[in-house]
Amino acid sequence: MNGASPLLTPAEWQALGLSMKVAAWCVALIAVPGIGCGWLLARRDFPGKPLVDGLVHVPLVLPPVVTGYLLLLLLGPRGPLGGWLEQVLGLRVAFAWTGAVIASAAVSFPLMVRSVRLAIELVDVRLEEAATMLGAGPLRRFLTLTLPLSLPGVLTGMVLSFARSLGEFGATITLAGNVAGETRTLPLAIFSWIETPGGDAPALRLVLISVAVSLLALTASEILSRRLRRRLGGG
Amino acid sequence: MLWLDLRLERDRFRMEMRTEIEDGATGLFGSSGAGKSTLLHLVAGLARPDAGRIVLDGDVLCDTKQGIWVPPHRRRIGLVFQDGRLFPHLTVAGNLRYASRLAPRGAKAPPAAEVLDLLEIGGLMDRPVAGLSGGERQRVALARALLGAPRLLLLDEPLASLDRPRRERIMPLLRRVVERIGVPTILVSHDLEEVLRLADRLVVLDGGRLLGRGSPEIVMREPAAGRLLRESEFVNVFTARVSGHEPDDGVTCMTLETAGPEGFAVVRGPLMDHPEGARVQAVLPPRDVALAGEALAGFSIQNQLPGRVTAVDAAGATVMVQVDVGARLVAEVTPRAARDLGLRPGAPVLCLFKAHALRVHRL
Repeated sequence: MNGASPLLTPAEWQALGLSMKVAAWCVALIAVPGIGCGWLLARRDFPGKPLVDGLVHVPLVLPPVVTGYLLLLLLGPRGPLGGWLEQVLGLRVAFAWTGAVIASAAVSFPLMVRSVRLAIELVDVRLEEAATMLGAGPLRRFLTLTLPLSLPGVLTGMVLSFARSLGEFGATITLAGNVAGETRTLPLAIFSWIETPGGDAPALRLVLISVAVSLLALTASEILSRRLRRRLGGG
Repeated sequence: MLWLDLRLERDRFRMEMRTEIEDGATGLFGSSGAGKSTLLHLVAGLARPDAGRIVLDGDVLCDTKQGIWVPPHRRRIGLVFQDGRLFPHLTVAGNLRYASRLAPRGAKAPPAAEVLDLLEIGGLMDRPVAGLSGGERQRVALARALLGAPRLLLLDEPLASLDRPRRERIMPLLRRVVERIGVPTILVSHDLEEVLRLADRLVVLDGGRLLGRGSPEIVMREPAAGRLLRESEFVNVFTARVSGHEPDDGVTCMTLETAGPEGFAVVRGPLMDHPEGARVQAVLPPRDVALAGEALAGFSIQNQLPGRVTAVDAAGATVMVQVDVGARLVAEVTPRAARDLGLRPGAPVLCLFKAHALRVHRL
């Protein structure tokens, strides 16, 4: 233990900080597309809907390693999208923290979409009809009625995605690697300590941190969502 | 004015009708499954006809031949649903604001203060919607629709979810709003008395077809529509002003708003506590009206209104006689009575009914 930080070592701080950063970016990245996709699946019928539904949900059932590998093929330096990203945007994804964000986003996206979709399906369409007759167009109806009324579900989706990102391992290590300070998030750090002879104690400390952070996030979301529901006039 | 020419086919239901609906208050009446709500949804734009044309005040809202379709949110038609459909995440004031913000600039919305006053909801503004009673909810829903400055107001069974006492309490408010705000209104109901008390004109539907339209007396004379009205407990509805109380006699006098051949008709109703000058609506079932050829003396019936027969329609075991006593009054008598009295259009006749046969509601 050093004096500046009696609880955690610099490496532990680094892993924790990185995990939070990746999870936050992951949620920021998928929030809007997730809401859009959830609305689309809840409220619209279009040809190919089952296919879109399947594609969105596939990361939920694929082994994360497979998801990570597919992303690597797509976004790696020699991948069709990866080369373009690097040349045009100067964005490197493979073996960089941005890769960890993308890996998390891919596996969290279905959770986000599912929560939003369920929440939107629960919003009474007849209320939207009432708003229509008052002169509200589709976008206004969504922003003033559907979104506020499904906010608890949207929030749940964001927390689930955040938590899923904190726990992400397989896709991350495959796409972004295990680079200390760059892509070594909490789970990867735990894995590294377990692999190291005599690393049981530090691994256990990280496990405790991991549990604490997850519980904190879930509790905070529960409190927030309860408040929201009360404000929305529900039970 | 609303002009309709609509055709629609769903599984077992077929609607075909062509009609026009004038401004003012129109009641759309028919049994359940007649197509009342479907018609309202078509006018609102929440449903599309298979073929047809809808024109409101010269504005084509829908024309399947020319491919014209104005989406519902651009029609500026207010719709009040049976279940209110208030937005649960907003307060009462929030719901009303939602509507007034969407009212097009330059549109003449009724003044909010007047609407709140007429509907008696001024005290509810800060309340969350979840805590409102059924009656309060419907009044707020109506206010919300009005504040959106609609060109046409559609009321889809607005009182059906309320119990009898609440309905009785709200009906006069609704009538007042319809009269004072002056937005053309179409009211749908399966309750004929409700329709007659709230609207001046009827459109009668059955099985997706138009059976008749016009004033109740005119619709009454159409064979199919008339039968439906009689079977649905048709009632006479008068508007009148309280002109005096006679507590010793246990009656209150009211002057009908329209003048008859002998001047303003005065009717006697049960003693009530509405002040003199108050505007009221009186409801009188046709079977409570007896007819006589000449004035009688020495009996208990308080009302003897002289008038002239305008129509006699035999309908099975009864005869419906329309008499002009200033207002139009429908009496139901037996064929024998009709024969003995020599009832025919133009014949002078006296309409007799007890004071307590009148049900009086303050407007």
